[in-house]
Amino acid sequence: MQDERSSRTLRRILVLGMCLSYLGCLLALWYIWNAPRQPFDAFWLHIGANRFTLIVIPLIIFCACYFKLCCLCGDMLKMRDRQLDERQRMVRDSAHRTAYKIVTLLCLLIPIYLAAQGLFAAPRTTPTPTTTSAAPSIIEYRVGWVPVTPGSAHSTPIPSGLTWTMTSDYYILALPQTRLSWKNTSTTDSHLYSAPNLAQVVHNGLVTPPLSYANNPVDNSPHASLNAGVYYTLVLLTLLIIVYTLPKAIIAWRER
Amino acid sequence: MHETTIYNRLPVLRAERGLSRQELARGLAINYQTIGYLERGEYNPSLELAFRISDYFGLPIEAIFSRQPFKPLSEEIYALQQRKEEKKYAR
Repeated sequence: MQDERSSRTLRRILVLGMCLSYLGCLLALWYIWNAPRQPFDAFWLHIGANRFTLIVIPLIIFCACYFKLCCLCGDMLKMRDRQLDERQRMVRDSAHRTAYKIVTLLCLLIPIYLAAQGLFAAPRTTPTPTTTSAAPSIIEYRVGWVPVTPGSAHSTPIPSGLTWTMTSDYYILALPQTRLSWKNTSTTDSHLYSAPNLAQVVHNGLVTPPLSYANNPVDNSPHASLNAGVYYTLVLLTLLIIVYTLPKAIIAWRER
Repeated sequence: MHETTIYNRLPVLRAERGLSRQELARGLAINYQTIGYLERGEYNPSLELAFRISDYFGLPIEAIFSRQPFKPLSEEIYALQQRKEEKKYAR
């Protein structure tokens, strides 16, 4: 009896581990897509990795928990119907039903999240005409884009969703997934930079190109489109993982 | 739908015959864990399984399953003996 209880506790701990690591995967996906550049990123770039490394850790924990769970309670889901007795068939069907409900709920949450993001987040592209400034350090901007000059940084009204941070030399404008263009009046060059996840570094009034982020989903370079492909593959993989493993986790949670 | 508890005498019958859960499960062609679920009253068998169990033990279904809790077997046997003796003296 005590063995049964300890086995059940272990199984439940593993299921909890799976849930937490799956949440970790989702958070990592969200971070890859949304989060602005932070000092943490510099660390990843420094060690030669990128943000995708983040998802590997929870994914490994998830797989470890899942395989341990399979070893502990066998795989009722892989057995044929005639190999199962009536109670096992009932448990399996009930687990599938519950998993279906949870996945449906999650799938409903995705459009709700996207809609909420659309409602509350700052507009990312706006078809407002360009305005140009004659001042040498003023950068051409459109609504939704921001003038970045060291002198005016703090007085400039910043659209919601953007943040300024300042170090001793740099003004950093974080602007997730927004294209940034400017005209440098000294050279009269106009550039269009895809601002990734994202930081625009301004140093002494001169705009330097944003540090390249290989995983920028809105970057137009072939390298970036490859990374966008990897990103969406990861999203799909995460969905498939939950569809595949959830019934098993439910059975392991319920069984004595 | 409200699920009624169905009580059973499986642990007693199994102990009387000196059967393990594995052996009983093998005899009934079900998983051994299901025997545990039945004995603890956490799972109500289908009619088909109930008949299979009654065939296996050679007892009527009502002797194995009941909707009321069973009295201890010793108590029932003693009561039965008492009734028999009362009938004998009455004659």
